[in-house]
Parts: sequence; C-alpha cells; structure tokens
Amino acid sequence: MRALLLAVLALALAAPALASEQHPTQGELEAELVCPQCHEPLDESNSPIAQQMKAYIREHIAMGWTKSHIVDSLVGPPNNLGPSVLGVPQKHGFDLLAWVLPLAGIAAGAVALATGAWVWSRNRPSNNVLVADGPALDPALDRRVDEELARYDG
Amino acid sequence: MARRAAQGVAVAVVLALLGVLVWDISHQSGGKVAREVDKGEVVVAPPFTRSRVDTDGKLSLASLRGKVVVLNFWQSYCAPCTREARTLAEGSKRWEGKDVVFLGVDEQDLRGPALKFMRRFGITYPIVSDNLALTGHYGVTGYPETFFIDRRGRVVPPHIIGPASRQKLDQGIRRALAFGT
Repeated sequence: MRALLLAVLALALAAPALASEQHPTQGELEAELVCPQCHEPLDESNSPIAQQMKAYIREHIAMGWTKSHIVDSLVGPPNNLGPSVLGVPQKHGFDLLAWVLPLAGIAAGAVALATGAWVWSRNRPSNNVLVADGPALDPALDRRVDEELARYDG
Repeated sequence: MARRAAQGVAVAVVLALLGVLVWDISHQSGGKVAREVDKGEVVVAPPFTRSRVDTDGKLSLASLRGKVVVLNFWQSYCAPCTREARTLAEGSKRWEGKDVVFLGVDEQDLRGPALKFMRRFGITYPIVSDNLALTGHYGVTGYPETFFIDRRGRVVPPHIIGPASRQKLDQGIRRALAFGT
C-alpha cells in the first residue's frame, strides 16, 4: 500500500516535469535562459541577441522541439552560444560543483555542529557532580536546617 | 592531531585556489594581440579551431598556414558590420588564388541569422562561430575588427577597428604578404 502511494506521488510530481520537457512554453524557456551579452534573463532583455534567441525559441517550439533539444541547440551546435546562456549551472562537469558544494557545506556544517554539541555535552559536569563537589554544610547548620524543615512536616 | 590535519587541509585548499587563480591569469592573453599590433609589433596569432557556420565541420587557423589570412570579427546584428560586408565579400573574390584567404569569426550569434547575413551580402569565404573566447585572445573591443595574419602565422599591423574600406583592406593584405616573404 505504502509503495503504491509512493508510486502515485512520484508520478504526480514527474508528470508536470515531463509535460514541461515535451511541450515547453516560451515563458519558461525565456526565464531559464540568459542573454549572453547583458547577462539578464532573456525575458527581461531586449538586446539584439536576446531578440534573436526569443525568435529561435518561438520557432522551435512551433516545430515541436523538446525543451532540452532547444536548450542544447543554443548552448552547443549549431548555435554554439556556450553555457553562459544557461540561467542555472549544468548538472555535469565542473558546473556540478555549484550543485554539490552547497549541499556538502550544509552536511559538513551539520556534522561539525553535531560533533561540537556532543563534545560540549560530554565535557559538561553533571548536576550530581556539582552537589558532590560543593562545600559540605557545617553539621550544626545541617541539623538546624533539618529542624526548620521538620516544622513544615507537622 | 585532528586539529593539525584540519589546518593542513585548510592550507592545501587555499594553495589550490591560489594555483587556480595563477593558472587563470597566466592563460589570459588579455587583449595583448591588438595592443601590440597597434604599437606596430608583430605577434604570433593565437591558434584556434572552431565550428564552421557556412558548412559542417571545423576549421583551424593552423590549416591556413602558408597563406595570408584576413581575420574579420563580426556579428549579424551589428550595424557597422553591414557597412563593410560587401567590401569584404568583394575583397575575398578579388584576392582569391593569390595566397590570401578571408576568414570570418562570427561572435555570439545564432546560425540562422548569420547565414542570412552571409547570403544577403554575398559572403562565400569560411566563417567560424565563437563565443567571445577569441575576442578576449585577440583583444577585440567592438565589432567589426579585422586582423592580418602573415604566411608564418603572425599578426601584423595594421589592425582595422570598425568597418574596413577597400583601401585599408588592400593595404593590410599587401603588408602581410610582404611580412611573410
């Protein structure tokens, strides 16, 4: 039952991604690509190359190209604009570091925090030790405290 | 012990980053070519191999060794480039068969508009596409710009900034031919 639920959930999440890949919209591609001249998102740029890219995207969406096909053809052959037109780093090669390093940093921070907390808690003296190490009461004073407390017991 | 190891790793990371910085700086020609040529110096042409725009395949500058190369940087959406395009197209035909080749570097452009530009102005010489790397290596500051490379693969003065006229083009080619002999 649980496996079925997970499968349904995975399918529900994958469906929009698949639709976006198969039938990309002009808006989403313009938001994900960057003008190589002004480095602004394509949908905010009016530079000549940005206008060329927008026209190219429009034309190739109409031709039924997939999202990755359009992006790849802009980055690589035949247009060879390079990865600088991508709004987000690629998930392979050197760019992979941009995805991995923040996660590695968070993981390293969590480990450091956990280690620090563990070391701190081990070194901290417990309550019992504090009492044991505290100055012992004078026997007369101790007896007097007992007597005072005994009045409340009655 | 663990503290020592952590310090060692930190120092190694800093040194590695420093190494990357030094490598990056040492591999940038930083526009040296244009600057030197404009001072009247002769500079070895930065080699390159790029995809062709006019046809399939790649073209390397080394394959043109033995000929004078007129290296023109342009873009299809650059207005001044349209003013020199016919001069270059006509020049390439006039100098054909005289050990002179014209080579266009189409910078940061889409192939479709570039091909349209070529058809419009009758450009039939080879064009390669680039993504600003050669602009940096040659020190191009705007479009169009034209360099002359002699038969021995050296960039020789003059260097034309802006649209090339027939007179400037012929002058540059004649000088490059003279340098290479």
